Amino acid sequence: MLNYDQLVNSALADLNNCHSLDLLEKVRVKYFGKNGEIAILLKKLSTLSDEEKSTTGKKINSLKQSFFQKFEEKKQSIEQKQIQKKLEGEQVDISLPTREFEEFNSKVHPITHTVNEIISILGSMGLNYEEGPDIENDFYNFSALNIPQNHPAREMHDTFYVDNGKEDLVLRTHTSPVQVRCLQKKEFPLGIFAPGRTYRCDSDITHTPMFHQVEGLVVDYSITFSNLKWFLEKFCKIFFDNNNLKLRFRPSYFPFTEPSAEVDINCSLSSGKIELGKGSEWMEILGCGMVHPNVLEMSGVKDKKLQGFAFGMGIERLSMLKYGMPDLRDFYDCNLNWLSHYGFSFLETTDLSWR
Amino acid sequence: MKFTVGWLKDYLEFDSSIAELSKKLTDIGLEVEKIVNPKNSLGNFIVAKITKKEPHPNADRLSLCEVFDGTSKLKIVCGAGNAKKDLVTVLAPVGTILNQGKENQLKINKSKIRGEESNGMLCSEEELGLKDSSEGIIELNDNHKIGESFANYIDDEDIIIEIAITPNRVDCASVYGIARDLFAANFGKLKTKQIPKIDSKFETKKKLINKLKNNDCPSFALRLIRNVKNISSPKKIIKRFGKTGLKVISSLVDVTNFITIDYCRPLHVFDFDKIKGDIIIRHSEKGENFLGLDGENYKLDKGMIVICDDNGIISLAGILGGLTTSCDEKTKNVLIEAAFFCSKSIISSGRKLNIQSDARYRFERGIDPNSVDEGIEIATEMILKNCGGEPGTIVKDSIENIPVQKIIMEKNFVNKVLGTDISEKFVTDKLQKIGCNVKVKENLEVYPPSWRQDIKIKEDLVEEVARLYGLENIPSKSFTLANTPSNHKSSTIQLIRNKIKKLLVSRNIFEVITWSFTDEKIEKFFNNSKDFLKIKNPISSELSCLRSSLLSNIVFSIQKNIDKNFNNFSFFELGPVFFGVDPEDQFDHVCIVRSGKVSEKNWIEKERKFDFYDIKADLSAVLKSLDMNIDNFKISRLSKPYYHPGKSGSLNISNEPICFFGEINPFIINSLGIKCNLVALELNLSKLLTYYKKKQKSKEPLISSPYQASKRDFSFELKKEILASDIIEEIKKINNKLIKNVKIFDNYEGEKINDNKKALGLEVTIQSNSGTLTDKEINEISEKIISKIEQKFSAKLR
Repeated sequence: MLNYDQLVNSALADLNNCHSLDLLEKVRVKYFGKNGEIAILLKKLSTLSDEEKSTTGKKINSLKQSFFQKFEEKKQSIEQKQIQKKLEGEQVDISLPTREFEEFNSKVHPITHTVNEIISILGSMGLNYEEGPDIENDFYNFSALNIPQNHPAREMHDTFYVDNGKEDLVLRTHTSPVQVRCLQKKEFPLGIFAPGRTYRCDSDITHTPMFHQVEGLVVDYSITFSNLKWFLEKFCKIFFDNNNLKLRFRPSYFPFTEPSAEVDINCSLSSGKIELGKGSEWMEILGCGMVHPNVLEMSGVKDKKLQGFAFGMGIERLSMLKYGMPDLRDFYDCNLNWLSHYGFSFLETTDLSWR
Repeated sequence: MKFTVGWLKDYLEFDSSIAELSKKLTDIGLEVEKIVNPKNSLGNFIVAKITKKEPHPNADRLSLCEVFDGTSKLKIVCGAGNAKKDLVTVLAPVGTILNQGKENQLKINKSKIRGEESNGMLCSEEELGLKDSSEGIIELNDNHKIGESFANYIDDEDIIIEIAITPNRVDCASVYGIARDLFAANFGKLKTKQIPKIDSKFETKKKLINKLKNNDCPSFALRLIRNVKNISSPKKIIKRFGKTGLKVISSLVDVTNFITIDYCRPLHVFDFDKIKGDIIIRHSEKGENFLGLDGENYKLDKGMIVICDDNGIISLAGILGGLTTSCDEKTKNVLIEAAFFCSKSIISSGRKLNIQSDARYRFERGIDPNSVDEGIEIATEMILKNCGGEPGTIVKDSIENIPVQKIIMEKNFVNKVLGTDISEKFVTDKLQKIGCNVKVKENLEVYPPSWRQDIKIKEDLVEEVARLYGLENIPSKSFTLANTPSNHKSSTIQLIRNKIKKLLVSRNIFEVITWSFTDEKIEKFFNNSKDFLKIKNPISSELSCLRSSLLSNIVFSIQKNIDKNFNNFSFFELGPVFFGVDPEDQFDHVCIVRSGKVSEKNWIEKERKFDFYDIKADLSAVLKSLDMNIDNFKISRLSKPYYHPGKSGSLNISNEPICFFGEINPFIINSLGIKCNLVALELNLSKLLTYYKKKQKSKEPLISSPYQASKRDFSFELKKEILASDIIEEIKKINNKLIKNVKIFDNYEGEKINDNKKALGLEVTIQSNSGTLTDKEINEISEKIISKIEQKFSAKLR
């Protein structure tokens, strides 16, 4: 009376032939709709015996199960195909540029970067960060540093004077006044470094009226010149990231240190390019020495057994030697191309000490 | 300080190479700056002889020479006027490179000059690098052997060494001093300078009154030499002067200049017959005139050391001689002056009058006070030899002997300072070698030589030992510093500066560094109330005062880049500004200036100019990086005149503005000639940081409510000038426990609303930490919000 197998086959075949969600729905209605084939079948069920009811009911349930399983599979497959088709139509030109339209990629100024490198090295070597004001009086900038009035060394500092009608105020010609300010606190052992702006009334290819220096000072009872040598050798090797670097200590003169020395690093200039740590030419990079007793005395340090070393470096020079900027004056020219080329990403690490 | 190797060999015997000499000089603190050694570049040049000379058929100024180079005869075209048959000269054969390594490097090739073959080049002294300029080809005497390398004839007088003299080492501003120091460093053998003692033939009749014996001029001496002939100096002196850049004047003057360089003993010569009356050494009066040797008329200040006769000032002591009594070719009777002037006075006069001279340089740094007699005797000997004449007695007006310094040094002191293991013998030996008198007792008793006025304390002795021991021989020794007290305040500030710099760069702003000075004219635009801190001696008018704002320099640098056709970019600087001269008047400011558009013309978004809200976002970001919330500050319309009056404001802490920001007033932009819109921010970082609290290491516990948050939207119509922040503040006040957030989603002004009104759309988040709120509770809060805002601001819910 009921060709069950035929019904199963035709229902599944109908499903299989569907290519859209609409058709799929039509097939569902055809079999399982209010007036669908199954509904008709169910109506007929009442005329059957209990036993037949039971077996036919089971068959219909099994049919329903396999139909809807297939139905869901088909539905998903059609939907996926539709999405796939839609996505394929949404193609963009992947070669177009992104939303970052800026001509330049902003950069940290090389002075900031170099100072940060110096801070990380000297800090890890046990020195503390300090700073001092840019406007200093004669005492801090000269007298306390053993540069009395009419000392020939004052000729070497082309000093800017600040006009305030009263005191002899200057723009500090070096960061060394910070030495005096720290010594005055009389807390020993003392180990500090102080980067900052410095000023000299000079302007040509190799001088700008403002530049940056970093000062270092270590004072204790047994700090010697050989400690100074070790300290600066270590600093330079880390800073220039070059273990082959050779340092030459050359006797020199600074009023605030005795003995004094200038330090050169070896390099080769042969290919028209400076290569540090190679070759036999020497490049001056810093001045240093043992703190002059007059500086300690002028700073109010009474303990004659204290001794120590000090050093001072030009930050622009260090930066130029490490990173190759050809002209000092460009540092302050605010030229976008230069800043973009010689500046540093804000993500760039400056901690060299653990390398 | 320049000298030739030949000159040095007058006093130092050595066989070492020039390279070894150079290294030694630098090692002992006499840094070699330049060596000119023609020997190195003249190897290929050959002594040759012109055997025939004929005119060039096609050029009047050229000649055809036949030149014998020792093996063959070459045809060479020559343009020198002095080329003649039998002249011995120098040939640069084909293949030689002239001026090697210099800009004007030239390779000699076989060539045709105006149709005539030329196989080499005959050289001038200039072309050989022997002189800075010369005319004609070099003329050699018959001692030069044809065919030999010309390098063989370069002698020590052609090798020039230039060294840098540190201000303490005036003793080495003399060839003899350099020899003496090299000898002390075990380099060569010193030929000790012999000071002549010349018998006088008559009495020098000149009355001498030294009024400054007890202060600025402890020693002054004169000697007359009669019947001299002031002809030209001997060739040797002229050559040395040429090599070392000294000016040849006349034999008498050359003698004084020679001794200045040779022995660091500045002298002066007067034409005796031009002096009227007694010679007086005194201080000048203010306004006195002095006619210098250089022809300049100087107006003197009070207190300069001057040498006078009856007619007035005849010499500015230690600095510059006078024109009226100077020696010339007619001088018959010469008066030699040797004196010791104190450095302080010379420094002050020299600086005031800005006169540079070799004498000033040496007196300023402190010459040997005991060299007055020596100077007179050496000069007398040279004058008698070069100019003839007979010497008179020495007339002197000086104080008794100048006291000698005595330094006591503990025996272990050198090693204590240097960290070395140098023997006591080495120390005493070296100190003696530089001229000290050393007495070994319990301590060392050291008497430095009179020519080393710079050695005053035991540390100076350590320096002497160190440099003669060789700094390279001092070992490197590690050390650890016991925990040093650190200044957390300044390091914290430095960390914050860095944080802000990196933040701003990440927001696509370039960091710039500009001068601490600025142009008064531009500064006036941005600082109309305060006095400028002026520089007394500015380097230019553009850098004439200290900045009290960063804006002027940044705007100026922005303008420079706009002129180069960049329009859309941003700059910031974090640096000092100055409101006064005291350290506490120096503040760290942050200044941001954004120019033009947020983005260039592009395919994906509309172009947009930077506006008020972009710069406010920068401020908010800076505050956030310091764990501060911009909403917790009072933003007021109070601003500066150089900002747009409606599009600017300030951030205030207890009614003090610490940050101004907004669009720069178009009037200012126009008057500065800038072709772009600018927005700017100026933050007083130092002041802001006085409110900064460093976060504790451990964090506060996290509180987040598990209960649902409800959001309600409101739209109020209110007067334009009412600030949204005031509305938000008022809403929060209604219940600051339950009202978690107030967000503005709309700010409408336009056609659909009254002219002087705006519509503000707000989304209020209401949430409890202790339970889910009922609709009733939420509605109550909503109603309170509506009634409060309507009442307080005469607003209307839309």
